[in-house]
Amino acid sequence: MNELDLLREWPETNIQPSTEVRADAQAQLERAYPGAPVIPTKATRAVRRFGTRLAIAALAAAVLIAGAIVWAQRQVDERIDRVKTVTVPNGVLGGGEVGARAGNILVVGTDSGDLLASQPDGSTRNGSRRSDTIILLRFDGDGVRALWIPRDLAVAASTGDRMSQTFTRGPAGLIDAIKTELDIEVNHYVEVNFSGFERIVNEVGGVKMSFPGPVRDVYSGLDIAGAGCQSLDGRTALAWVRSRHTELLENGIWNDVLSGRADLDRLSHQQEFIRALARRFRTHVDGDPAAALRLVDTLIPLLKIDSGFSRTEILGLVRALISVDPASLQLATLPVEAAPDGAHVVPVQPAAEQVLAVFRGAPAPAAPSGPSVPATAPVHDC
Amino acid sequence: MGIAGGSHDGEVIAASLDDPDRFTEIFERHFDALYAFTARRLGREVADDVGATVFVEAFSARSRFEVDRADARPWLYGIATNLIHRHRRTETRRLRAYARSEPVGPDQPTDIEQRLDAEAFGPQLASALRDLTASDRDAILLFAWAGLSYDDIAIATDVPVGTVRSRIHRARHRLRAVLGVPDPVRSME
Repeated sequence: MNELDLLREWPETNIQPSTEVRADAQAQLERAYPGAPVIPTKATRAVRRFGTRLAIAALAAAVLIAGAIVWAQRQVDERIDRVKTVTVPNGVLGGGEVGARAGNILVVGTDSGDLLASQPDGSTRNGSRRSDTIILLRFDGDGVRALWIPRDLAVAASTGDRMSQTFTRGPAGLIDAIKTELDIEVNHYVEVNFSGFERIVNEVGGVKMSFPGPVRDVYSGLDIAGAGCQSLDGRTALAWVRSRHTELLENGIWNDVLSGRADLDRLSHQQEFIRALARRFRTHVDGDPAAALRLVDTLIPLLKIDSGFSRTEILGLVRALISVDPASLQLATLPVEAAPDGAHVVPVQPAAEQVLAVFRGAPAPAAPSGPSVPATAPVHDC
Repeated sequence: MGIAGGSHDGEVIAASLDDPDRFTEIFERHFDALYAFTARRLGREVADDVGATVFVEAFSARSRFEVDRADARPWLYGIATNLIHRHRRTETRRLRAYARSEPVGPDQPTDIEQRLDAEAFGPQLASALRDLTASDRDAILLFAWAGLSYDDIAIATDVPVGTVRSRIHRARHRLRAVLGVPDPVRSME
């Protein structure tokens, strides 16, 4: 035991303040709190320094973003200017700002090149200006819906005997036929060259579609060996979209699963393809404006629009298309059945009228739950 | 020390700059120990006031606390030591009384033999402490009673740690001389 040990134990080692003394001391301390000046801590000073830096960074970012917007605006404007236009005679189109208000856009697709350019062989043969695909797009507050019009739809009131042939008079012939036959006003007109979609599919890295088994079309060159979810490159995807004689391998036998509905099945192929492509577009351009611009650059040469489109209208429609969730895309074919002559199809009533009513401005029927292509469809996007 | 409650003393004091109520945590952590130290030197009566004053002064000076220090004790004991100096006469009077009188019995002896030894040596200890310079006494009592390290004492008394070492050395030498305790080197053998 040394002097320190002795000192440590002396004189009283276990002194505790009484409860009252402690409470008094605490009360005395806390009386000093209310009037105490609040002193910025190092931490808050650091936050303020950080805040200043943040403000500077935000200002710099704002300048950069403003510059980028001006640049992007120029990029967009320049691209809009590059879109070729088609002159549709006055009074044929309903016009107006689709997007600002509800409206219909007629999309005519060809799989064989430029509809309005003269054919390479200069031929005037019947069908040289044939529209391959006729789609009505409806934009309203609820979104976008698309209706495929079978090209073999009988057109009694026109000189042609089917919808596709009205196009021999140019866009105005088809727009007139849609107005007279289906009682639908078309506000704007767009032409799309589907053959160019091969490149677009490749640009987004292929589209994914699910097949019930090996599928082939000896006419279109379609040859899908596996079953289930497949990634299709541009060439295969186009072969699928073009396929009108699709055969499915079941139990070792190639069966014609189309059974005489060649054109209608082609339309459903297109819808499934569009849905798969839309899904792919979203993942491809998501958060990547450069990829979006490249995609736009690939798309532009494939498009023609009527000269009545305004810039804001185009941007609004692009925005509306981008914001559509592919899963909820309302893609449908006008319900039709074979006409007695076997060469045409005619609308099935009342189903056709119900669908068409929406394009005349009637409120949309209750949205079907889930995708418009049932998950049980033999072929679907995945 | 100072880790209870998740934030160390420096963090709590830093927070108390914006939010004074947080300083109550410092009070709760350290009041009893500071009170005991003060009471041991000046008696309970004086400690009742000084203990409270330590924290009021600490609170008003909290912006000078170096908030990266996890332990506020050196700082608090430093404030207490300055306050105790104002009561130097009380302290020396107490020590003189201890040196003259019979030792006071312990409240709660933990080790009877040790306690009895300490009691027996009480007058000599009091006498030795009374004879120390104020700064030597501060150093040895911060070391022996408050349990601070040399570094902590250097902070508390605002002197270099070497000064603390020599002060404690001097104080121990004086205590040994008064108590007749053998030389530390030999006692350790």
